[in-house]
Amino acid sequence: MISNKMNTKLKLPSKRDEKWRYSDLKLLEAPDRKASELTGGYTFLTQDENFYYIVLLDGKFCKEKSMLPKGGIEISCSKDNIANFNKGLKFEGKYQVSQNLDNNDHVVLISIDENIDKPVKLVKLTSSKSAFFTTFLKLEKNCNVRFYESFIQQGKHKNLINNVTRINLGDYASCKHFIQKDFNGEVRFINTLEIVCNANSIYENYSVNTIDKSYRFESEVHLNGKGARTSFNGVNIANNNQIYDVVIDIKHNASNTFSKQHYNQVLDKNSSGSFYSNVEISELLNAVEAHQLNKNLLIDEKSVVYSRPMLDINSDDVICSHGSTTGNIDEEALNYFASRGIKLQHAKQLIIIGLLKSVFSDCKLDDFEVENLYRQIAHSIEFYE
Amino acid sequence: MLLEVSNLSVGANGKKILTNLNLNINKGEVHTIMGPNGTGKSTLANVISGKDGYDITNGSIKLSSKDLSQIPSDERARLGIFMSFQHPIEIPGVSWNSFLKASINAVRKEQGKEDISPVDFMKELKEKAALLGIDYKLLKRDVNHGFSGGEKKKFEILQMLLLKPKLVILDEIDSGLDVDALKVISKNINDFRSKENSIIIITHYNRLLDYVVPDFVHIFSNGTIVKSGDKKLAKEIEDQGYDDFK
Repeated sequence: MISNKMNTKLKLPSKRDEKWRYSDLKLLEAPDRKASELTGGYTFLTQDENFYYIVLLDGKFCKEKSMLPKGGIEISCSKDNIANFNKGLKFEGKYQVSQNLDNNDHVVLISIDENIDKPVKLVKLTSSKSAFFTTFLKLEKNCNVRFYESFIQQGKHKNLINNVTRINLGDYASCKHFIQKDFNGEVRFINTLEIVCNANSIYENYSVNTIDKSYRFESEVHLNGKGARTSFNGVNIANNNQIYDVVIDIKHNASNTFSKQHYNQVLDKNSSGSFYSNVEISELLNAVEAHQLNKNLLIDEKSVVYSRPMLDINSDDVICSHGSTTGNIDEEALNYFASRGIKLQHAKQLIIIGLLKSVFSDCKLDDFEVENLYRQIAHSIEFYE
Repeated sequence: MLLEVSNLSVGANGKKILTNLNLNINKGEVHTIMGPNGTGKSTLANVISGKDGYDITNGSIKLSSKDLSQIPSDERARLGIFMSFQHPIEIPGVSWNSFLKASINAVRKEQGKEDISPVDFMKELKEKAALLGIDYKLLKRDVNHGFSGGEKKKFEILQMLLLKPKLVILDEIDSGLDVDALKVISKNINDFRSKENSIIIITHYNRLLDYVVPDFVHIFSNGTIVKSGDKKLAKEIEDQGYDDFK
């Protein structure tokens, strides 16, 4: 991975399956502000009544700033609860989570056991030069939640954020997960997501990535229950020596499961992006469907893209598709725009926005959710004016 | 005089395509250009509309006495030149809504007008689409994406109606159309036709000219106009072919 190399150069953690994520907190520098100062400028935390808020300050749960419903959500940093959560997922052999539990206030377990009437915003706020978040989300049977994971950096210093979010969806549970970022400084961001979907549960992920200096998004999804579904829909917009790595592993472990990935990228000014996706369909399954699509637009000659949508199919009764395109803006399309009086820069902008919006256009989202994603795209494309 | 093409010679990739071409078009006139394949009809349309990739080796093109040689295609469009494409391109991801609004506003800006309001835009779009029998659902789709040949041609005419250009060049607008679509498109061209605009129709066939009667017909051969006449010339071509002009 490109960002791995960059991190090695910077003497930052670089390998994927290392223990450091959970155990080596020495790597994290001390915050340059006190936790109590962090929320000072963020009055929005208690203003928008359309959301519930769970606020983490430099990795720790901040009860005072959180706004929770009367019932349905339980927050825990208890070692036993977290150990039980992980045991249920059968992940414990993979990562050394238990080593970190002595410092358990950095690991936050959110349990949701009933439908929540508003979306939940999980605010991860940091002013440290390095921030570490580990969040486990447990959705009980039949629970549906819209989950906005917002990473906010105060200050304009260079920053490393290392986030791990692990989600377990019970039978018939559903989670729409939006990843949002608000960074002022140069942020190198490693975001790891691990999902377990039980029978007939649905996990959907949406993101517009544009302001990271480098972003490595690693996701692993286990579709363990019959009828489980997942989709990953994202766009990466890089226009200034930025690096985006997207790695998605989806494991279809049960019949009637469905997965879809659609990532489009626009790369300019010596940026690079990669889309490494692997869908594995286990043996002896029926009616499995998996689709991967990655479209990339290279605006300048120095930017590069790597794309590898891979399928590992071990059953016969499957419907799969995978596709990838990479190229420059179509000259004929630009000519068509020009023939209607549209200036070159505006034409390029419309084409870029069109490519990016297409990721979300057929998603089953509410109008305001789509508008919100489109607004993030439009805001990021302003530099082409 | 709206369009004045004088002694125009054009080449591309070192190959001569148009030679000493002269064509004058007044406001309110409809001219038809006919000719066998590969004689330079579409090149003339492309050169007037300002498409890149052609070398003008001699002559000039003027719109309302303004020399177009140094003016790029987007500016020509804003000045009032509209070309309907023989094979309109598909642009997935870009909705008709944003594309049409951007084109209308580009033209309006040139004319010193404010951007069209969303309400007026939708009203005009629906009104013009109805004239062409375009299903409202198609307006919500991306530019020409997955459209049939006939639908693409109808959307070319829709753009003409919305942009209200001074000079319209219709490059084989009749190809790929069934009889009903041909009638609808012809009616809209006739309704659009006025003393304030001019139309150039490039076609291989006489059938469109049964509905849109031209003032002049020009026969193209070897990169230039070899004969001009009225509607009867088109009938002559249909009966006898182009052999006499090669």
